[in-house]
Amino acid sequence: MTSQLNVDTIVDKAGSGGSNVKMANTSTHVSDGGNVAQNTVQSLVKVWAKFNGSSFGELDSFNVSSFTDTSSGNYTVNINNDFSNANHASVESSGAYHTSNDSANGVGTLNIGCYNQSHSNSDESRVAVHSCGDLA
Amino acid sequence: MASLLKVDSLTGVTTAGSISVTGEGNSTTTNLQQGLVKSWYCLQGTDTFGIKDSFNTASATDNGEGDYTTVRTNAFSNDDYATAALCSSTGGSSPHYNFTVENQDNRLRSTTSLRTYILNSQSGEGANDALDSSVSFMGDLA
Repeated sequence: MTSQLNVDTIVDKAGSGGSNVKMANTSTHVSDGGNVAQNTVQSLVKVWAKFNGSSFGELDSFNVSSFTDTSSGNYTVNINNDFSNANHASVESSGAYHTSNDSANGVGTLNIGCYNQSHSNSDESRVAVHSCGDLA
Repeated sequence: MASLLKVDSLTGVTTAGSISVTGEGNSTTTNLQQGLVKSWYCLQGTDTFGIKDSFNTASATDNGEGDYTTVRTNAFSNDDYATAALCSSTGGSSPHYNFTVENQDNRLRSTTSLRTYILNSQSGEGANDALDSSVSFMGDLA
């Protein structure tokens, strides 16, 4: 039987804390304009991170187990809960002249390359990444 | 005691497409619908062009070298949605470093379609295919 819950705000049972909501992966939400419904879980950013690539260290993150400083300007973000496949849509940005996805991502890894104007790998102090896709 | 609520669909009472959730710091609320990524994709540009994985993406067209158009299944309410994009670089003995951007001279941005270009900054910004290119879209759906 299909069920529908009409609410304006979702909070935990205590009513004052965080939203401790467990959502099935088939759950949908009504669109902002109210005309369509989309899958909610597929709309979530599954991993995000910001780190310092120069002094090397995490600034903030979600669903990240660790960071690896592979070499100058090359980093790997290791994901805690893996994707179901390696074709997740990852997007990265930094203060570098170029930021690219040099090595193929894995189900549990995001690979980031930062380059200077001479097209050489170079460390950056602020690097951000997020990825969308289906978790395993 | 923990409680478990099982539903298939969440709808706002006051406004169907507006539900608030409490923020991680417990001091603010944020809009659930506006916080979601409404569409995303990962395309393969080299060898056989195609969609590797996607959400709310109806189709992808290879217009030429480094020149792709994708179409959303559910449209945005306007064409001012925010995009974030990244592509892989081409390695080897003569590496290229590419961007995925909109081309101001031949841009296409509508509530459903977005045309993107991958430009090679080492060869006069000429268009180049990349192995992978990914875009995520944030904005209000219709």
